[in-house]
Amino acid sequence: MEKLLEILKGIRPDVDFANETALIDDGILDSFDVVSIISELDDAFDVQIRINELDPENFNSAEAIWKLVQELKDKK
Amino acid sequence: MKPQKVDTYEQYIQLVERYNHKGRFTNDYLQNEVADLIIHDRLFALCGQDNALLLVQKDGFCRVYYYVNNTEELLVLPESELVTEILFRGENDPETEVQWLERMGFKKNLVRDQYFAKYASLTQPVIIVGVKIEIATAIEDVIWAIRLFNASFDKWSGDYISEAQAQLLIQEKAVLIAKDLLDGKRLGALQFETRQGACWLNHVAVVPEARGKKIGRGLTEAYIEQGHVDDNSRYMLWVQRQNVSAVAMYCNKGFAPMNKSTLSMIKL
Repeated sequence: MEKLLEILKGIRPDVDFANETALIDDGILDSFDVVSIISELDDAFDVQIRINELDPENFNSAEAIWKLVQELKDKK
Repeated sequence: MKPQKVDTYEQYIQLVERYNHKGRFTNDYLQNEVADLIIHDRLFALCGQDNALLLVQKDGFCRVYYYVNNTEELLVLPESELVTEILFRGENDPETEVQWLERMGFKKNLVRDQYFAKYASLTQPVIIVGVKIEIATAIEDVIWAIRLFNASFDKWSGDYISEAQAQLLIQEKAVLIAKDLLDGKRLGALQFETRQGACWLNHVAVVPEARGKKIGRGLTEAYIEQGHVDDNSRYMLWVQRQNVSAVAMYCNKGFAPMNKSTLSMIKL
């Protein structure tokens, strides 16, 4: 989780990822950010997120993103 | 090889599945727009062995989105005018993508950086003497503003506003006009919108003879007040990196860079 927060902070240093719970719903992250996050997750955790897995709920918080990463890792 | 129209969302998904490999370069941030583009017959695909382009038809040109897995493979581009934007973070240009696009005939156009502020972090407004700034309610003021914006920005970067939108902009109270307090002469304009929880400064321009008189600053202050709900009100804007006076003004006002930039490249 710490590594994820570090990645997210590197992408958007202005966002409080530890506390935000509506990153997509409140428009804090845009599609450019999501594309960047997907790419970084792939590099860091070796997980590929398919386009039809791009459910906004999976990106609304650092915790949700971390859960998605864990699920994808478990599937491997 | 000619671009093929993308007729269904499934076709788009298949294309992404085929070309979206680890280590690829992409600027495909269409996502939410794809369904609408398909419905309106505006999305085309140009597919090579390893690389693919998505072409979105605009008025008189196409915007290009890419998946690049192999920079040795070049694609034969259509004759129409093309523009693409490379999204990147940090100080350095994304050289690999730039070189690949240059080898296909693209040239660098503009670099833009995104800035952000919360109301609480902004500095106090300055008083601009002799200037009246207010929401435009007259159609002629809004059309004047649209013409000023369109004369000030290039059409490639998504800045173009159609005059057909004038009435809508009045309804949305989305245009601020600066006028000389004495003779009513129009000096500048700003267009903004609230979306995704932030107040976006979309366009601001000042007539050449009024530049250097803090008109842009005054318009920005008025835009900030329009978007103010509380100390957490959020403000966003993109600014051309080479527009150093505007960048300095936004930084002095309290805006901070978001580590998010675009380099537009065009092929005419």
